[in-house]
Amino acid sequence: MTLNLLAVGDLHLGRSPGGLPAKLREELDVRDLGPATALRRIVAAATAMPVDAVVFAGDVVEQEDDFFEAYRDLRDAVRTLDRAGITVAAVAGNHDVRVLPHLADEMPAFRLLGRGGNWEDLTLVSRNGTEVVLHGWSFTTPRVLESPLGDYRFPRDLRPTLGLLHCDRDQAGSPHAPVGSRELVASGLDAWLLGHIHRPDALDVTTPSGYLGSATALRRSETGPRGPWLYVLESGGIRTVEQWPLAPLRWEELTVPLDGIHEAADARQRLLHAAVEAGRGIVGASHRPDVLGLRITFTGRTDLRREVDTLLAAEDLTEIPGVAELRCFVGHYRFDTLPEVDLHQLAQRTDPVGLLARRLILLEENNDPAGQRRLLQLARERLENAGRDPVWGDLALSTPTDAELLGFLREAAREGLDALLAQHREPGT
Amino acid sequence: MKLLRLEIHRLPGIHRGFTVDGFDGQLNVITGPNASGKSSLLRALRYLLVPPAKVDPGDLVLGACLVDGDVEWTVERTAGSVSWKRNGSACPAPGLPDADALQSYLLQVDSLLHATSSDRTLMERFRRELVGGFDLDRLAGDGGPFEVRRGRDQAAARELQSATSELRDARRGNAQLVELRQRLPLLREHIAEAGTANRVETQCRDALAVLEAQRGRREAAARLEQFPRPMPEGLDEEQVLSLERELDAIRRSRADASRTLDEATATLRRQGLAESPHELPEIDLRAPREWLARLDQEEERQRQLGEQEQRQRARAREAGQVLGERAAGEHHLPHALLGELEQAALRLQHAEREHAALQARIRAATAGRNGNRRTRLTDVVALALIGGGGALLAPAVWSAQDGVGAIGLLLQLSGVLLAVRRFLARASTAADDPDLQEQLRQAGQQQQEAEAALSAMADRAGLEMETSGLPWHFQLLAQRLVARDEAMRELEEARAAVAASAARRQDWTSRLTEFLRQFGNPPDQPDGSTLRAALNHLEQRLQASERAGRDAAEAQRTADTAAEGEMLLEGRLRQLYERAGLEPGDRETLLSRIRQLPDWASARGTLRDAEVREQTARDRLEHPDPDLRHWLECGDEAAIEQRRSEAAKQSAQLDGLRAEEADIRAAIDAAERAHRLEQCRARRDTARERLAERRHRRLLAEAGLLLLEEVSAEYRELHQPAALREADQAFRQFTQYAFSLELDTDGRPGARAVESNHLHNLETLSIGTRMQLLIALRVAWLRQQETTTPVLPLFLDEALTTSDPVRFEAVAAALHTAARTDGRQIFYLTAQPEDVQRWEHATGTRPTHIDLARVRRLGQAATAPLALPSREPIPAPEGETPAAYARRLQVPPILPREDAGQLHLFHLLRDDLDLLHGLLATYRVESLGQLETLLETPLGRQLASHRNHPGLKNRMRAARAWFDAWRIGRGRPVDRVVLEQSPAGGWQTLDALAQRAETTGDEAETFLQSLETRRIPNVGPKKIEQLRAWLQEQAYLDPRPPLDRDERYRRVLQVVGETALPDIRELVDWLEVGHGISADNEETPEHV
Repeated sequence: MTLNLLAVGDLHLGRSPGGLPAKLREELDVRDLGPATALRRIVAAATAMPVDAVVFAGDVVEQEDDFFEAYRDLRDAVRTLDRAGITVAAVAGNHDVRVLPHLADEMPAFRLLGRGGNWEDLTLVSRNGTEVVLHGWSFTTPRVLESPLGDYRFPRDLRPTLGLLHCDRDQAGSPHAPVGSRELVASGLDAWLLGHIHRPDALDVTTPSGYLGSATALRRSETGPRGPWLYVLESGGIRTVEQWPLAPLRWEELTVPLDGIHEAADARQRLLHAAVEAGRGIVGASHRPDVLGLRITFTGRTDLRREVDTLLAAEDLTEIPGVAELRCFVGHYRFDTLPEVDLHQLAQRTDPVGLLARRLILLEENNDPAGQRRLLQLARERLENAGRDPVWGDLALSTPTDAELLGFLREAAREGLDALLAQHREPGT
Repeated sequence: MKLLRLEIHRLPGIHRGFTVDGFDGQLNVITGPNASGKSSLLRALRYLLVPPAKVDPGDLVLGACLVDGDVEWTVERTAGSVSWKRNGSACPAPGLPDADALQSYLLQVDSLLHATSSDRTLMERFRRELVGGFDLDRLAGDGGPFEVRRGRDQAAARELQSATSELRDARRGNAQLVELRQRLPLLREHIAEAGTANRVETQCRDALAVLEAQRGRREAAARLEQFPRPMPEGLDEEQVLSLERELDAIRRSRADASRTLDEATATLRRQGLAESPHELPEIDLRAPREWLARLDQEEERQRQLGEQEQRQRARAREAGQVLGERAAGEHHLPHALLGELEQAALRLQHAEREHAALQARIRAATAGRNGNRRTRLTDVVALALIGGGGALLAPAVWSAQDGVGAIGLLLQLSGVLLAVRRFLARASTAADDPDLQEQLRQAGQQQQEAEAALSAMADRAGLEMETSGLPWHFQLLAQRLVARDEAMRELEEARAAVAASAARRQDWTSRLTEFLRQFGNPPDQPDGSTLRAALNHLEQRLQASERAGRDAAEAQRTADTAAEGEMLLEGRLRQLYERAGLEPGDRETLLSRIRQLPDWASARGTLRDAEVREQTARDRLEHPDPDLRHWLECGDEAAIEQRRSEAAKQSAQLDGLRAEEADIRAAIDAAERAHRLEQCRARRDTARERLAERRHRRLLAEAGLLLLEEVSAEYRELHQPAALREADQAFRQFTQYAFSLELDTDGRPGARAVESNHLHNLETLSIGTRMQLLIALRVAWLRQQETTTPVLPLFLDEALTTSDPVRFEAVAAALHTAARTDGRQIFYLTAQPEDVQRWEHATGTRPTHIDLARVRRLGQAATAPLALPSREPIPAPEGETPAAYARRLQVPPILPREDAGQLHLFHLLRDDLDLLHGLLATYRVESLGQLETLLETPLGRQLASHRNHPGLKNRMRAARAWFDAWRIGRGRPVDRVVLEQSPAGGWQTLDALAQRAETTGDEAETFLQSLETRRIPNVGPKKIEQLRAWLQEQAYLDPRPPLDRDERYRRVLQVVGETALPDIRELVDWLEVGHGISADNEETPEHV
């Protein structure tokens, strides 16, 4: 006798997935890759099983006053789930403090827990009579500076107990309900279903508490499988925890070494091979995306970086062939390569290549702390100045960290070195 | 080498030769008016020191004496021949620079106006040495990895702004829609209220309609009352007239019918068959007609029978005549006699046949030679016989008892004929046969005997017969007899038929006669025709009687019908009168009322309509409230109207409210479907990503450019040609560290301004600065070249003419210093006698002055030198406060909008006024930019280390950081020049805009705000927006909020760090104060 509960993390209805190439946006309906489609898939999977309850851990909608567009998708989903006899519950996050209460007022089938900033519990009952208690707390304002757990004591219960909360874990000073891991453990609940952070934790039956993650990739950086989590509970506790990677769009980070390539086309081949391998691993799963986006990092030693870059820039990377049953594209690639010749060897030259190689060694190995500091200082002045250019508007860079400055300098040094070496590889030089 | 003496004996352009000597070993200023020969001195030297060339003039006689240490060199040139002597001994020419290099020693003003080919050669050498084979600029140029593409950054920023604006609009629309949706419950309430008011208004309107209808009904009733009663409803005048006409017509018809009846009755009587139509007998003439027809038939039959009798009689007579009877009558032959006759006939027949046959044979034989003709004739005869016999036999055959007998007869006849034919055929061969002749005779005889026998027998029988006419066959005779008997019998029969027919005829005649007698006199001699005529006449009478009877009956009917019709019409007419309530006959009254009928009907119709309206209105008025019902009953129209008016006001909004509700719902539905927010957000996010990527690229580019600059500077440091370095230092000195000398990527020299950091090429430099740059380059070059050649004198021919006094002194001082270092002799040729004093001021040494005009005894009085304005020395601090010293120095306030390079050094060295004074007085640097340039030189580095002022550089960095911090959120100033470059440059309102910019203190944001609050005509919101967008794009607007004092301090701290500059707080305070210092140097609190 079990109760099947589907827990959904940050959905952000009303937001379109980012990082998609322009050509892909023209060819596909971006909404098919976004939260609305993810929600439809979740509802379909939930009703197909069917589960006993679907719960949302906040940030269901992107914008707190989106009472129409995202609201419609959400309302239709709740209606469908309710018709299938599935209980729907949610807590409000920092993005949906206004929309969810409105939906709860309009649809009794939608249970919003913890309205008014007070903990509220809901008893979930499965079709076969298994009971689980769900505790929830909702944001009442977009900014919550204190932990909602505070001094609250959860009532003891012999039935399985779950917590549903949108919060910022272990980030003291966060304006989004900062909560400590210890607080969560001390609460005594069997598991915490958390929202807010888009990267999901590795949840399983031994570690059932954590971030559910975004229901679908909203940014290029949100790599890996995305989707709701199915909790199968019984009277004794949690039996299984399993992710359903229902997201229509999935991003993956791939590393492609360029060591030993003889021409730029070799890099393309390696990229294709890596893409096919990545796709193979995904296609075999029971739930799989429609579209796979790749973030490629080229590594290794090669003198053909610029050639590879030129070749790839001219290619259509919005449809990688050979990735079975998946539309696969490259959303972003970068180079983290070094020239074939050893950097120290280059640094012995007295020409601009050598001088630049020395600086790269300085940045990478910090063999001259004072020199590095000086360079960082110059970079800070310059980059801060450039970062403060009014053209960036509210994206203006405030204060980059040393690590960020180092990153820029390293990348620039590598790129510059490659460009200078390429000059001497050109015919006539 | 130094010049001791120059002799010009003959030189093109020089009239009288002259010698110039008495030169100083260091500094010589040769003055002379124009055309005094100053430039000729340089020409003469060139011809002496440069190997002769073909292009040189031939008319040359020149000489010079130079000394190099303890060696005296003399050189003489005569035409194309040059000879050298060393210490008086002839010798080869000393190792001198080549012609191009020698040009570097002769700095004439016209050669300093632009780079010469020599300069270009020099630059190329420098350039090659500086790049080391790499093109660093390409990395920062088009397509390079560190290319800064502001245009694309701005485009991405614009895209983000546009997307953000669109999202804002969408959110605004969304918010408005939320507000609208919040209105829905209230709207529903209002709709309900308006609906109620609508119903009340309708009820009131209905009640008013009831009252109105009532009024109308009463008026209609009153009008109807005015008509007489009853009114002949349904009548019209035409109806009456028509009835009357119809009545007249019927009466006339009736009269006519009576007349006709009378006439018909008279006619009937005249026929004598009846007195009246009713008495008309039914006379059926069919039987008499039948009788008559029978009679006619009988008459005809009788006639025919009579004719037949006649024919029979004739036949009988004929039949008898055939037989020879003397009279046609009955004659009977006994059969025995008939048998004998038959035998006799047969015998005769046979004899005749025999005879004929023999005759035929003989004829045939005779005519046998004619063969065919006889045969044919025979055939013809045969056929004739056949035909004749057939005809004769036909009756017998016809009347024969049996056909077989008839056929037998025919066969026999045929057989006979064939025999005849055969016979005739044989006869053709037997014509001359005597037997035949004998046979013929005997046959003839037999024939005669037979004939006699038969004739006798015929007589005995009483038959008159011609034997020649005797039928061929006795049967034929018998038949004739039979025929005769038959004919006789038939005759008798015919007679009997005639008699019978006559009897019948008589019978018919009698019948007819008796019939006719009933109706008048029958004919006297009744026969068919008379009887017919009588019957016809009777029939005519009967027909006439019948016609008359029918006419009478018809007339009677007509009269009856007319009578009925008349009665009916009279009745109807009477009814009309009765309907009108009038006495029959009161025609005029009736017609008069009829004429009033339309008006009456109209009045009645009006009344009915009014009643219907009233009823309809009452029916429509559903459940009026008590008040309304009371007002209605009382007829209080005013009260009802008042309530209606109030309700109408409220209900007038109903449609609008419903439409508003529908619009809101439609808008909500549309918003739910359109996903505009999502699209706008997606566009905004994409634009942000793109801008973030641009920013990343930009920062990467800046990092790359920084590295490139570092590498480039280090490389230049390592590999920079010494000459270029030296020229750079000299140039910095010349320009009091306002400029530094650099080569661009093409190796062309340029001057980088310290304040703007802008690299000016030669063309954009002022003439004076340009000449100073070229002097620095050439002097540096020639100094480098003199490692292998002797140090030669430097000649400047009015080279500093275009320099201002300060620059003049700087250049002069620098050259003098360098000359002293090199042991070089300087000659300055000038037309300005004051230049002697300038050189003295600049170098501190009085130069040797040679007045060329006097030397050449040109007779021109030397112009008295102008008194140079005395330059006030920079005052040293005398223990006064920094503020007081600043006032004495007339230190300008800090203008943070300007480049930090213009910052007066006072604001950095308040605590070290001595250093300040030294920099101002000795190094002639007074600004931050100049000091930066100075500190890059060895001299400057030495100065910095000497004064133990390592913090000086940090102070300068801090000052620059403070300037940057101050500029945050303030944008750049907008003036006319900026406006002319903007879209406003083409507007007619440009002048007004420029004036406004001036009055608003040229802050871009302040300027735009003033345009919005105090409008300039023809500069509306669109143009302001356009201007704003351009200013933003060009970075004149800074959307960031300005930093306050503390924030500026923190910003400076971030850049420099307290460790690097312990007194950073104090410095920032100085800068803050310095910014608040007013134009008259009064220290005033800062107003931020």
